[in-house]
Amino acid sequence: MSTPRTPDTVDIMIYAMSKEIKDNAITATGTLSPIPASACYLAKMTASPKAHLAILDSPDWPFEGELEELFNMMHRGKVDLFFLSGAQIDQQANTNLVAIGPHDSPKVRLPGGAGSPMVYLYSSRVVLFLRHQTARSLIKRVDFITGPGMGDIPERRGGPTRLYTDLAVFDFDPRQGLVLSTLNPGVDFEEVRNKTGFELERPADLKVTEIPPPEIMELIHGPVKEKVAAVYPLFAADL
Amino acid sequence: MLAGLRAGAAGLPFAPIRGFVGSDYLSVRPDIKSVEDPFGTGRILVVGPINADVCFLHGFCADENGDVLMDRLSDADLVAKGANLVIVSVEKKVPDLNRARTGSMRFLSGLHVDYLVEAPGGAWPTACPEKYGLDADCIRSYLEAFKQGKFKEWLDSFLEKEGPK
Repeated sequence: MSTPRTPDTVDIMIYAMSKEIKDNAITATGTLSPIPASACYLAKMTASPKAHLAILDSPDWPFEGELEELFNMMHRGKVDLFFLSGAQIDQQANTNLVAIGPHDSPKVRLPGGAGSPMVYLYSSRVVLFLRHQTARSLIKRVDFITGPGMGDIPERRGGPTRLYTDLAVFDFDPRQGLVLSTLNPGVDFEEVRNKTGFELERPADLKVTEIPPPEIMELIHGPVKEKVAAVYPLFAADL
Repeated sequence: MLAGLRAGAAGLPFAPIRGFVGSDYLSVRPDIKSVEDPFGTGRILVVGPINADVCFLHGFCADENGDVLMDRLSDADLVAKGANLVIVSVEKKVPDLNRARTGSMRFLSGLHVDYLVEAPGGAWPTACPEKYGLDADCIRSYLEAFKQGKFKEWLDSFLEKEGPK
């Protein structure tokens, strides 16, 4: 028998995020989202076999065309969950995919927000993810609001509920914004605080994010890896 | 962008969009405007039409009519439908497409197409789904050359290469 593999940050994120996905509801992922896509496939193989998945660029994409049908369904309130990220995410859960620095003379021109300014308001739930949390990616205020996290927006149907990073899990509080919920295994509070660009409060009962059990690790590095390879071959090769 | 392309393809002056309220887009995008919904639901944002001067599109195959079978997972047909000049390249020209759509292909009517070119490997170094994948090494070499101001040298060596694997 082979030695069980030790879960790394990617495994921990995939397992934690898979628990967000619900049966009989639509969960969608966009571009450059290999961890959410893996979480979707894992959920489908475990707790949520009846989940409806729309994983962009996958062979099992359930629509004709690229994004139009998904966006239309989202307008109509039929999409339960979307996973979103940003080059910057701030305390108010605003995301930035447009520019670092001033918009008209940016330090870095980012790829652009695509559907996120709509998705953020119209998906029933938005779960944020950040592959590398640093004090420059998780900050006090984004340079350009691409997806608005907080604020009274009449047409908002849903909004952010949680943020998963390689270091921790944050809950979204409508008044305070992102608040620390759990630390990922092997990470201490000081490290998370140092790699957060805003003042972080230590919750009274700070727990540790659940570690993927061996049977989950086997799924992630077996059938999940196989499924995700059709969409993200380079990511899957490293998994 | 989808809404703008849709308006452009349909010859409409604008299209309403959802979302964007609360973002910083409204301060930097003059093509997004807020109007009163004439049906009385309140303010709504609209975008102007997108009509490309020229659309280059690569498909799987096409016939004499210019009818094209292209990737099912692409919305590029919308760009073609609103463009002023459409140039389609395909992996292969076939005698008669016969509108035989398979599950993984999308049909673009030849009525939208101005010029058709048979160009096997024409999507390279990007992917032509199910035919060949993205050539990551080639794109990396392009990015590197571009940074060093050596695009022309890169292009010359690219044109010497044999095409996608």
